[in-house]
Amino acid sequence: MDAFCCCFKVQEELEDDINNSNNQHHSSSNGFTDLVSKFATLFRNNETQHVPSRVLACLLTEEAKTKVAKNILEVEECPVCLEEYTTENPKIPMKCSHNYHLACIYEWMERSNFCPICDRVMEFEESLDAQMR
Amino acid sequence: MIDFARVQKELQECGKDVEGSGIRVAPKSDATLARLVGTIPGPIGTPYEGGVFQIDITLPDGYPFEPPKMQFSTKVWHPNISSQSGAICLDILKDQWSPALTLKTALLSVQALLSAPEPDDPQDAVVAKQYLKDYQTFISTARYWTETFAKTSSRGIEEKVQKLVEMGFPEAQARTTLESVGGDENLALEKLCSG
Ligand SMILES: [Zn+2]
Ligand SMILES: [Zn+2]
Repeated sequence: MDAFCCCFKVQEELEDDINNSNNQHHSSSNGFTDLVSKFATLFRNNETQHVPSRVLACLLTEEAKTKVAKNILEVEECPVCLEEYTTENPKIPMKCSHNYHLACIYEWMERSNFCPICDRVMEFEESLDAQMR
Repeated sequence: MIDFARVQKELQECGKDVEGSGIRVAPKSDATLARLVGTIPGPIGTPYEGGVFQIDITLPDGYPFEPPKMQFSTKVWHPNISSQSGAICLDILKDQWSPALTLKTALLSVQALLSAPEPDDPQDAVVAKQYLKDYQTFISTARYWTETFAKTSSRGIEEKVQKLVEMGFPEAQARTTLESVGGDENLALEKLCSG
Protein backbone atom coordinates (compact mmCIF):
# COMPACT_ATOMS: atom_id res chain seq x y z
CA MET A 1 0.00 0.00 0.00
CA ASP A 2 2.79 2.37 0.91
CA ALA A 3 4.55 1.59 -2.29
CA PHE A 4 1.38 2.23 -4.21
CA CYS A 5 0.82 5.61 -2.57
CA CYS A 6 4.35 6.63 -3.19
CA CYS A 7 4.10 5.57 -6.79
CA PHE A 8 0.83 7.40 -7.20
CA LYS A 9 2.25 10.60 -5.76
CA VAL A 10 5.25 10.42 -7.98
CA GLN A 11 3.05 9.99 -10.99
CA GLU A 12 0.94 13.00 -10.09
CA GLU A 13 4.01 15.07 -9.57
CA LEU A 14 5.27 13.84 -12.87
CA GLU A 15 2.10 14.80 -14.69
CA ASP A 16 2.42 18.28 -13.23
CA ASP A 17 6.00 18.51 -14.32
CA ILE A 18 5.11 17.35 -17.78
CA ASN A 19 2.32 19.90 -17.99
CA ASN A 20 4.66 22.61 -16.81
CA SER A 21 7.29 21.61 -19.28
CA ASN A 22 4.66 21.77 -22.00
CA ASN A 23 3.50 25.20 -20.99
CA GLN A 24 6.82 26.81 -20.34
CA HIS A 25 8.12 26.05 -23.72
CA HIS A 26 11.29 28.04 -23.36
CA SER A 27 12.57 25.73 -20.70
CA SER A 28 10.77 22.61 -21.88
CA SER A 29 13.86 20.88 -23.10
CA ASN A 30 15.69 21.29 -19.81
CA GLY A 31 12.58 20.60 -17.80
CA PHE A 32 12.06 17.34 -19.52
CA THR A 33 15.64 16.26 -19.14
CA ASP A 34 15.46 17.06 -15.43
CA LEU A 35 12.29 15.05 -15.22
CA VAL A 36 13.90 12.10 -16.86
CA SER A 37 16.87 12.09 -14.52
CA LYS A 38 14.56 12.53 -11.55
CA PHE A 39 12.57 9.51 -12.59
CA ALA A 40 15.68 7.57 -13.41
CA THR A 41 16.88 8.15 -9.84
CA LEU A 42 13.59 6.96 -8.38
CA PHE A 43 13.63 3.92 -10.56
CA ARG A 44 17.23 3.14 -9.75
CA ASN A 45 16.49 3.32 -6.03
CA ASN A 46 13.51 1.00 -6.48
CA GLU A 47 11.21 3.71 -5.16
CA THR A 48 8.76 3.12 -7.93
CA GLN A 49 7.88 0.17 -10.11
CA HIS A 50 5.53 1.89 -12.47
CA VAL A 51 7.20 3.83 -15.22
CA PRO A 52 4.77 5.61 -17.54
CA SER A 53 5.50 4.56 -21.08
CA ARG A 54 6.54 7.96 -22.33
CA VAL A 55 8.98 8.34 -19.50
CA LEU A 56 10.27 4.86 -20.11
CA ALA A 57 10.87 5.84 -23.70
CA CYS A 58 12.90 8.80 -22.52
CA LEU A 59 14.82 6.63 -20.17
CA LEU A 60 15.57 4.42 -23.11
CA THR A 61 16.48 7.35 -25.28
CA GLU A 62 18.39 9.42 -22.77
CA GLU A 63 19.72 6.61 -20.70
CA ALA A 64 19.54 3.61 -22.98
CA LYS A 65 23.13 3.09 -22.17
CA THR A 66 23.00 3.18 -18.39
CA LYS A 67 22.16 0.75 -15.66
CA VAL A 68 18.55 1.90 -15.59
CA ALA A 69 17.92 0.62 -19.05
CA LYS A 70 19.91 -2.46 -18.18
CA ASN A 71 17.49 -3.38 -15.40
CA ILE A 72 14.60 -3.18 -17.80
CA LEU A 73 16.23 -4.84 -20.74
CA GLU A 74 18.41 -7.47 -19.20
CA VAL A 75 16.98 -10.94 -19.44
CA GLU A 76 18.78 -14.12 -20.17
CA GLU A 77 18.76 -13.57 -23.86
CA CYS A 78 21.28 -11.80 -26.00
CA PRO A 79 20.17 -8.15 -26.34
CA VAL A 80 21.33 -8.06 -29.94
CA CYS A 81 19.64 -11.08 -31.54
CA LEU A 82 17.08 -11.70 -28.76
CA GLU A 83 17.95 -15.41 -28.80
CA GLU A 84 18.84 -17.37 -25.69
CA TYR A 85 22.34 -18.48 -24.83
CA THR A 86 23.21 -22.12 -25.47
CA THR A 87 26.22 -24.30 -24.82
CA GLU A 88 27.22 -24.04 -28.47
CA ASN A 89 26.59 -20.31 -28.57
CA PRO A 90 27.27 -19.23 -24.97
CA LYS A 91 27.00 -16.00 -23.05
CA ILE A 92 30.15 -13.90 -23.38
CA PRO A 93 30.60 -11.48 -20.44
CA MET A 94 32.13 -8.08 -21.16
CA LYS A 95 34.04 -6.02 -18.62
CA CYS A 96 31.11 -3.65 -18.23
CA SER A 97 29.05 -6.64 -17.00
CA HIS A 98 26.85 -6.94 -20.06
CA ASN A 99 26.63 -10.19 -22.00
CA TYR A 100 26.28 -11.04 -25.66
CA HIS A 101 26.80 -13.86 -28.12
CA LEU A 102 30.30 -13.70 -29.50
CA ALA A 103 29.19 -13.35 -33.12
CA CYS A 104 26.63 -10.68 -32.21
CA ILE A 105 29.07 -8.48 -30.32
CA TYR A 106 31.77 -8.94 -32.95
CA GLU A 107 29.41 -7.67 -35.60
CA TRP A 108 28.58 -4.59 -33.48
CA MET A 109 32.30 -4.01 -32.77
CA GLU A 110 32.83 -3.59 -36.50
CA ARG A 111 30.70 -0.46 -36.19
CA SER A 112 31.29 0.81 -32.66
CA ASN A 113 33.63 0.46 -29.70
CA PHE A 114 30.87 1.06 -27.19
CA CYS A 115 28.57 -1.33 -25.37
CA PRO A 116 25.04 -1.29 -26.87
CA ILE A 117 23.52 -1.00 -23.39
CA CYS A 118 25.82 1.10 -21.20
CA ASP A 119 27.88 2.91 -23.84
CA ARG A 120 31.13 2.10 -22.08
CA VAL A 121 34.16 1.04 -24.09
CA MET A 122 33.85 -2.65 -24.76
CA GLU A 123 36.47 -5.06 -23.52
CA PHE A 124 36.25 -8.78 -23.07
CA GLU A 125 36.36 -10.08 -19.52
CA GLU A 126 39.94 -11.31 -19.11
CA SER A 127 39.04 -13.92 -16.53
CA LEU A 128 36.59 -15.43 -18.98
CA ASP A 129 38.44 -18.72 -19.14
CA ALA A 130 38.81 -18.94 -15.40
CA GLN A 131 35.15 -18.23 -14.85
CA MET A 132 33.99 -20.87 -17.23
CA ARG A 133 36.03 -23.59 -15.60
CA MET B 1 21.35 -9.21 -44.26
CA ILE B 2 18.40 -8.28 -42.02
CA ASP B 3 18.01 -10.51 -38.96
CA PHE B 4 14.43 -11.55 -39.75
CA ALA B 5 14.28 -13.96 -36.83
CA ARG B 6 14.81 -11.00 -34.51
CA VAL B 7 12.23 -8.89 -36.35
CA GLN B 8 9.73 -11.73 -36.01
CA LYS B 9 10.44 -11.91 -32.26
CA GLU B 10 10.08 -8.16 -31.93
CA LEU B 11 6.67 -8.22 -33.61
CA GLN B 12 5.52 -10.96 -31.25
CA GLU B 13 6.79 -9.12 -28.17
CA CYS B 14 5.27 -5.84 -29.25
CA GLY B 15 1.96 -7.54 -30.03
CA LYS B 16 1.77 -8.87 -26.48
CA ASP B 17 1.78 -5.40 -24.97
CA VAL B 18 -0.44 -3.39 -27.33
CA GLU B 19 -2.89 -2.76 -24.49
CA GLY B 20 -0.16 -1.40 -22.24
CA SER B 21 1.91 0.61 -24.68
CA GLY B 22 -0.56 1.48 -27.43
CA ILE B 23 2.31 0.82 -29.84
CA ARG B 24 1.66 -1.42 -32.82
CA VAL B 25 4.02 -2.71 -35.46
CA ALA B 26 2.87 -4.76 -38.44
CA PRO B 27 4.33 -5.76 -41.80
CA LYS B 28 3.16 -3.60 -44.68
CA SER B 29 2.51 -6.68 -46.79
CA ASP B 30 3.04 -10.41 -46.69
CA ALA B 31 5.90 -10.06 -49.14
CA THR B 32 8.61 -8.90 -46.72
CA LEU B 33 9.37 -8.02 -43.12
CA ALA B 34 11.65 -5.22 -44.27
CA ARG B 35 8.76 -2.78 -44.73
CA LEU B 36 6.58 -2.22 -41.70
CA VAL B 37 4.01 0.19 -40.35
CA GLY B 38 4.21 1.44 -36.78
CA THR B 39 1.31 3.10 -34.97
CA ILE B 40 1.61 5.37 -31.94
CA PRO B 41 -1.12 7.13 -29.99
CA GLY B 42 -0.61 10.85 -29.44
CA PRO B 43 0.57 11.46 -25.86
CA ILE B 44 -2.05 12.65 -23.37
CA GLY B 45 -1.78 16.30 -22.40
CA THR B 46 -0.26 17.31 -25.73
CA PRO B 47 -1.89 18.74 -28.87
CA TYR B 48 -1.44 15.27 -30.37
CA GLU B 49 -3.77 13.66 -27.81
CA GLY B 50 -6.52 11.59 -29.37
CA GLY B 51 -4.66 11.18 -32.63
CA VAL B 52 -3.23 7.96 -33.98
CA PHE B 53 -0.02 8.40 -35.94
CA GLN B 54 1.30 6.01 -38.55
CA ILE B 55 4.98 5.66 -39.19
CA ASP B 56 6.53 3.99 -42.22
CA ILE B 57 9.41 1.77 -41.22
CA THR B 58 12.08 0.46 -43.58
CA LEU B 59 14.71 -1.88 -42.22
CA PRO B 60 18.19 -1.49 -43.72
CA ASP B 61 20.23 -4.56 -44.63
CA GLY B 62 22.29 -4.18 -41.49
CA TYR B 63 19.36 -4.20 -39.03
CA PRO B 64 19.67 -4.46 -36.00
CA PHE B 65 23.23 -3.14 -36.30
CA GLU B 66 21.95 -0.16 -38.25
CA PRO B 67 18.93 1.94 -37.23
CA PRO B 68 15.50 1.41 -38.78
CA LYS B 69 14.42 4.20 -41.13
CA MET B 70 11.28 5.81 -39.75
CA GLN B 71 9.09 8.48 -41.28
CA PHE B 72 5.60 9.70 -40.37
CA SER B 73 3.02 8.88 -43.01
CA THR B 74 0.40 10.72 -40.96
CA LYS B 75 0.88 14.47 -41.34
CA VAL B 76 2.00 16.05 -38.08
CA TRP B 77 2.85 19.59 -36.93
CA HIS B 78 5.96 19.32 -34.75
CA PRO B 79 9.35 21.11 -34.70
CA ASN B 80 11.34 17.88 -35.09
CA ILE B 81 9.18 16.30 -37.79
CA SER B 82 8.98 17.58 -41.36
CA SER B 83 5.46 18.84 -42.05
CA GLN B 84 6.13 18.04 -45.73
CA SER B 85 7.81 14.62 -45.76
CA GLY B 86 7.28 13.25 -42.26
CA ALA B 87 11.06 12.89 -41.76
CA ILE B 88 11.99 12.61 -38.08
CA CYS B 89 14.95 14.28 -36.38
CA LEU B 90 15.80 11.96 -33.49
CA ASP B 91 19.30 10.96 -32.43
CA ILE B 92 18.57 7.30 -31.73
CA LEU B 93 17.39 6.90 -35.32
CA LYS B 94 20.79 8.21 -36.40
CA ASP B 95 24.18 8.04 -34.69
CA GLN B 96 22.80 7.18 -31.25
CA TRP B 97 21.25 3.93 -32.40
CA SER B 98 22.18 0.79 -30.47
CA PRO B 99 21.29 -2.80 -31.35
CA ALA B 100 19.86 -3.14 -27.84
CA LEU B 101 17.02 -0.83 -28.92
CA THR B 102 14.04 -2.31 -30.73
CA LEU B 103 11.33 -1.08 -33.08
CA LYS B 104 9.10 -0.72 -30.03
CA THR B 105 11.55 1.30 -27.95
CA ALA B 106 12.33 3.41 -31.00
CA LEU B 107 8.61 4.11 -31.49
CA LEU B 108 8.28 4.88 -27.76
CA SER B 109 11.06 7.39 -28.21
CA VAL B 110 9.26 8.93 -31.16
CA GLN B 111 6.18 9.16 -28.96
CA ALA B 112 8.29 10.84 -26.26
CA LEU B 113 9.51 13.29 -28.87
CA LEU B 114 5.88 14.28 -29.48
CA SER B 115 5.66 15.11 -25.74
CA ALA B 116 8.92 16.99 -25.64
CA PRO B 117 9.77 18.93 -28.79
CA GLU B 118 13.33 20.16 -29.14
CA PRO B 119 12.97 23.35 -31.18
CA ASP B 120 16.70 24.07 -30.95
CA ASP B 121 17.44 21.06 -33.12
CA PRO B 122 14.59 21.37 -35.64
CA GLN B 123 13.68 19.26 -38.63
CA ASP B 124 11.05 21.76 -39.74
CA ALA B 125 12.34 25.32 -39.40
CA VAL B 126 8.91 26.91 -39.93
CA VAL B 127 7.30 24.89 -37.17
CA ALA B 128 10.25 25.40 -34.82
CA LYS B 129 10.12 29.17 -35.35
CA GLN B 130 6.42 29.21 -34.59
CA TYR B 131 6.98 27.06 -31.50
CA LEU B 132 9.51 29.55 -30.14
CA LYS B 133 7.85 32.81 -31.22
CA ASP B 134 4.14 32.09 -30.97
CA TYR B 135 3.55 29.09 -28.77
CA GLN B 136 -0.26 29.45 -28.62
CA THR B 137 -0.57 29.42 -32.39
CA PHE B 138 1.75 26.42 -32.49
CA ILE B 139 -0.52 24.55 -30.08
CA SER B 140 -3.66 25.29 -32.05
CA THR B 141 -2.04 24.43 -35.37
CA ALA B 142 -0.71 21.15 -33.99
CA ARG B 143 -4.14 20.37 -32.54
CA TYR B 144 -5.83 21.22 -35.82
CA TRP B 145 -3.46 18.93 -37.75
CA THR B 146 -4.16 16.15 -35.26
CA GLU B 147 -7.91 16.60 -35.71
CA THR B 148 -7.61 16.73 -39.49
CA PHE B 149 -5.02 14.07 -40.27
CA ALA B 150 -4.58 11.78 -37.27
CA LYS B 151 -8.20 11.18 -36.36
CA THR B 152 -10.41 10.56 -39.37
CA SER B 153 -8.34 7.84 -40.95
CA SER B 154 -7.81 6.03 -37.67
CA ARG B 155 -11.46 6.29 -36.72
CA GLY B 156 -12.23 4.92 -40.17
CA ILE B 157 -9.86 2.02 -39.63
CA GLU B 158 -11.39 1.18 -36.24
CA GLU B 159 -14.85 1.05 -37.79
CA LYS B 160 -13.64 -1.19 -40.58
CA VAL B 161 -11.85 -3.48 -38.11
CA GLN B 162 -15.05 -3.69 -36.10
CA LYS B 163 -17.05 -4.61 -39.21
CA LEU B 164 -14.66 -7.43 -40.08
CA VAL B 165 -14.70 -8.67 -36.47
CA GLU B 166 -18.49 -8.80 -36.65
CA MET B 167 -18.12 -10.93 -39.79
CA GLY B 168 -16.17 -13.37 -37.65
CA PHE B 169 -12.53 -12.57 -38.37
CA PRO B 170 -10.06 -12.30 -35.47
CA GLU B 171 -9.35 -8.67 -34.60
CA ALA B 172 -5.56 -8.78 -34.97
CA GLN B 173 -5.83 -10.46 -38.35
CA ALA B 174 -8.50 -8.02 -39.53
CA ARG B 175 -6.32 -5.09 -38.47
CA THR B 176 -3.08 -6.27 -40.09
CA THR B 177 -4.91 -7.21 -43.27
CA LEU B 178 -6.58 -3.80 -43.44
CA GLU B 179 -3.24 -2.11 -42.82
CA SER B 180 -1.58 -4.24 -45.48
CA VAL B 181 -4.04 -3.04 -48.14
CA GLY B 182 -3.98 0.57 -47.03
CA GLY B 183 -7.40 0.47 -45.36
CA ASP B 184 -9.43 -0.72 -48.36
CA GLU B 185 -12.12 -2.88 -46.78
CA ASN B 186 -13.09 -4.73 -49.96
CA LEU B 187 -9.52 -5.75 -50.66
CA ALA B 188 -9.09 -6.72 -47.02
CA LEU B 189 -12.20 -8.90 -47.11
CA GLU B 190 -11.03 -10.58 -50.31
CA LYS B 191 -7.68 -11.27 -48.75
CA LEU B 192 -9.14 -12.59 -45.51
CA CYS B 193 -11.46 -14.91 -47.40
CA SER B 194 -8.74 -16.25 -49.69
CA GLY B 195 -6.20 -16.64 -46.86
ZN1 LIG C 1 23.03 -12.76 -29.97
ZN1 LIG D 1 27.77 -2.58 -21.03
